[in-house]
Amino acid sequence: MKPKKEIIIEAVNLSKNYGSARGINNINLQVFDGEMFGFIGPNGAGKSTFIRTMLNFLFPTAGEIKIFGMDAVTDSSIIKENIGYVPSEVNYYDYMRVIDLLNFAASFHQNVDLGRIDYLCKKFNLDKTRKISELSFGNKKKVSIVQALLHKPKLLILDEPTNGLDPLMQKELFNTLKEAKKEGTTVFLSSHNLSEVERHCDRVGIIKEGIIVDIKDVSKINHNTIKKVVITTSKKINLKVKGISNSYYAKHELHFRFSGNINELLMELSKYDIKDISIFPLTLEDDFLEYYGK
Amino acid sequence: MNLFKVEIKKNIKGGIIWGIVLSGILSLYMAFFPTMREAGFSELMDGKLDMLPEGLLDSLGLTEMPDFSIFMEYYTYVFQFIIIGIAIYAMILGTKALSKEEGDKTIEFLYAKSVTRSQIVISKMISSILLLCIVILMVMTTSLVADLIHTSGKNTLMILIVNCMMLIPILVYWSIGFAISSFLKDDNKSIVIAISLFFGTYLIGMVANTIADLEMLKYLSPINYNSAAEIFKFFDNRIGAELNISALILSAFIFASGIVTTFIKYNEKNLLS
Repeated sequence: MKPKKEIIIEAVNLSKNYGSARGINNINLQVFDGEMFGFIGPNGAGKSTFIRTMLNFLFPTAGEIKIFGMDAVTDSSIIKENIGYVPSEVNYYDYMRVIDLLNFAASFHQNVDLGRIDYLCKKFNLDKTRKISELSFGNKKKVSIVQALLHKPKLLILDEPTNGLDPLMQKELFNTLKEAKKEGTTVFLSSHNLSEVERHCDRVGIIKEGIIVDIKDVSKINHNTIKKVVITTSKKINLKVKGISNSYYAKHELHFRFSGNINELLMELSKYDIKDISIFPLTLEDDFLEYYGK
Repeated sequence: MNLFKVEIKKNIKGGIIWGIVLSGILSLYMAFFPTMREAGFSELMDGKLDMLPEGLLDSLGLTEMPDFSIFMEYYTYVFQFIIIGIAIYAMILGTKALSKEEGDKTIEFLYAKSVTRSQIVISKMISSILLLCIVILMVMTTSLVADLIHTSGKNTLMILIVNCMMLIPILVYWSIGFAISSFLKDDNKSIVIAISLFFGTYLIGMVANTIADLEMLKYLSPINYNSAAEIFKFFDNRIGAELNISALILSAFIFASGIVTTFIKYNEKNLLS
């Protein structure tokens, strides 16, 4: 019998309203020890509100959120001893040098190995002597990544971490996250980049208009058995094969998902005048777009 | 301690500049004391000032005509303007203390760390008190040097008493500033709020001093509760001199309310992006 995994983040009926503006509504979510959890949704869906409520920047209107089994409101400062946070927008003290900021960040945690600061700065190609005010957005982002990782947190919360990073640094970031995950760090990754979430995360939560509409196990988004099919025909056709779903016509193209026997589909198609056919693996993006009705 | 050090480092330059400017103004005025001491000049001033309406003299802090030939009377007259400067600095320190972090959005960095909101407030309070003390010490040192030059240090104790007593209104403005800061979403208007609130209440205090029917309004202006001259005369055992005790109690109440409001409001504040 598989040992039950410890719950790291647990939201129970969590809501946060800002008067008439939408926040998050009745969110129930569990993130387990050692997993990399992706959190996706368009702008204004409530991703940042959820993260800010987790970190007690915002107080819940209803419900509760627990991290490491402790209340995110009353035990916030104890919880944060073991949290690393990379915000989407990076704002630090402009008058400080990078090393001052990193030392300041380290001073909030116990027993930080200062050698790790050097290690991470080298890894992310970050000049410690430069002033924060002189840094580009990408370099500020690197500072935020290093300060979040320097105390080896048990939980890493990243809000759009790859924004502003060049592809090499993005790769380095995910290599580092994988290393941290191996060492037992739980990663909560909010992102617009669906392919990066699909590539790296174990599970993904999709949020729409403040509500979590689905939580998917990425390994079960079965790329082999479910395909996305696009057929170009001269006139409308009506396919009668088991396993067709989500079909619709766009101009002369028939789009559908197929999870049945491919031979049966090809047999059926042979009855019609087909001009072109494309078969793609189903991606997280397809699921995402389906939820957002595009 | 880490937060306290960062706060001090961030604001020390500003504090020293305020200290230098206020000490400079005080030195400049005190340099005129030997001229004021000359009896002829003093008599001339008395004669001219007697011609002014009583209300105007009240509003200029000349209620009871100071004898400018006496060092402490001249000093306390000049010092009331220096106190205005320190009170404005205290109020700016207070109003910017919490709101600046939100305006600069650096507060997200702090909130994500292992520190409580109360610890943030305490660090900022202690560091700003220390900055205020630096400014006051600079002004006090200038005062003592002026006393040493002009009276061979005869008024050292009285200068210390007046400076310490004037800490009371300064701390009142400082705590009001902190309470305001806990409500602000950024620091864009913090200086404007601090200065207009200070001068608004100061003007009300001046009007209250000139119109007997509006006397109660003086309680809106903490800087007018007990002037430096009144404090000096009281501790100099002058006949009829007294301290406004109810104003002292009110000062303590406003100070405590400002601090309590700051903690309550800041601990329940949502950090909106």
